[in-house]
Amino acid sequence: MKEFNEFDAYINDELNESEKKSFEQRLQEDIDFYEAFESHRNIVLGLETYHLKNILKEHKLPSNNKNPKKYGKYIVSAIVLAIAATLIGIALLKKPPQKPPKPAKENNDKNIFALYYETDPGLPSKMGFSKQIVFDKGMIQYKIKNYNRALEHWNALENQNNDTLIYYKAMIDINTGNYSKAYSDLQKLDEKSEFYPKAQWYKLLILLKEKKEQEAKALSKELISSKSNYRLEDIKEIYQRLSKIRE
Amino acid sequence: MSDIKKYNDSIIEAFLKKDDKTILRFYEEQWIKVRSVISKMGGNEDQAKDIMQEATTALYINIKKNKYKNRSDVSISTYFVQLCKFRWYDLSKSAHFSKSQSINTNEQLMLMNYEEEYTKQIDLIERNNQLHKTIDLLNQKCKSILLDFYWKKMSMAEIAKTYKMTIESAKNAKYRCMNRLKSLFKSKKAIGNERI
Repeated sequence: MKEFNEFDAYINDELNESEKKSFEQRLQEDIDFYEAFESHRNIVLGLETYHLKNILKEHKLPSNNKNPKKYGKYIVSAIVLAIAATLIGIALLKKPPQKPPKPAKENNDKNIFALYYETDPGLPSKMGFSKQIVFDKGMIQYKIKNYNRALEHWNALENQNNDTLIYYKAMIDINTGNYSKAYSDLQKLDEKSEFYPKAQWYKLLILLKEKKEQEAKALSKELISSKSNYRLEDIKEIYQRLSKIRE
Repeated sequence: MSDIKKYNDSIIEAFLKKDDKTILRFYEEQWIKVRSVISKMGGNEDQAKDIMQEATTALYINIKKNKYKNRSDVSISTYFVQLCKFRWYDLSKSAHFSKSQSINTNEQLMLMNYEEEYTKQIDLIERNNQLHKTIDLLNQKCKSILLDFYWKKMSMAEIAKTYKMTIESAKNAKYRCMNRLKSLFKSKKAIGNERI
């Protein structure tokens, strides 16, 4: 039990400097002690994450589920809301008027870009194919977010009008905050390019980032009616959010 | 210090201090992004929630064991979404998820590039889940005492008061519960060799 308490004291940072030093020295020198401590620490981490997981499970996240089987739940919520609204109405009649609530536009949807943006993970690198090796070297740097090194490789390539190259250089521009340049480069890609649907999606996100909400709305509308299914649900959701902002 | 690093630091601190409020805010902030990623790969909302919970516990362990590298150019949110993707890739290979949309060749190749990291994270999540199943086998009082001590950081005096015991009995109860948990887990796995 003494060892057990000592483990807890170390984990909870309750040992003084000399106790801590001698504990750590023993960890380095005594393999049995080290293994017993590791086992104890793993069990403690298991207990902590067990509780953490329970907290997360109990925390309600907003749902986007449109499953008709769950309408019953909505009806109950609507009844609860109606009762709450009635009670609030009665309370308001009794109280002097408060400050008006901020419009929804101020509270929500201020940064739609951040909600939806995630960087393109890049293409698989097929090391060893000489034709592509320079591009692939750049792609490896891109994946580890070493964008300057990626550009060094890619700028050395002869054909700068290649659609893959244009697209990934634009991705670097987005990741480094050069949104206007990224937008104009993405516009160079035509419908024949396999990157066209993705380029349209990132153009939409750039418009959102630059707070060009009307243009973003027009583009999302255009994309919804296009043949592409790329991020279609997200685009529809963005369109709805933008429509609410306008209201 | 960059804004990203500051943000990452604030989240790391919240996990280390077990600040439920900040942890839950971080968790909620990732939801739309994770739901969208999992939905794109053929998963539903419930699956996305399960994956988020497992990724959060994996992130917690990585922080506690100093395995999370705080980089000034990568937000902890990006790292978190990556953990969720790793877990999804793993689940999509299992029989239970076989009817879901499987990952495409590009994603498989991308995964190979991160194979080492991917394998480590999946092992960690799996082992942690096994331990959680073992904790479920403890009686409620044992679970409560251990959680009060290790998560809520209650002192033995506070625990003794809560459970109407002497401090000495509370210490013995905690010791017995911990040993019970260890032996239960040991009967499934050799915990001395486990690395969660």
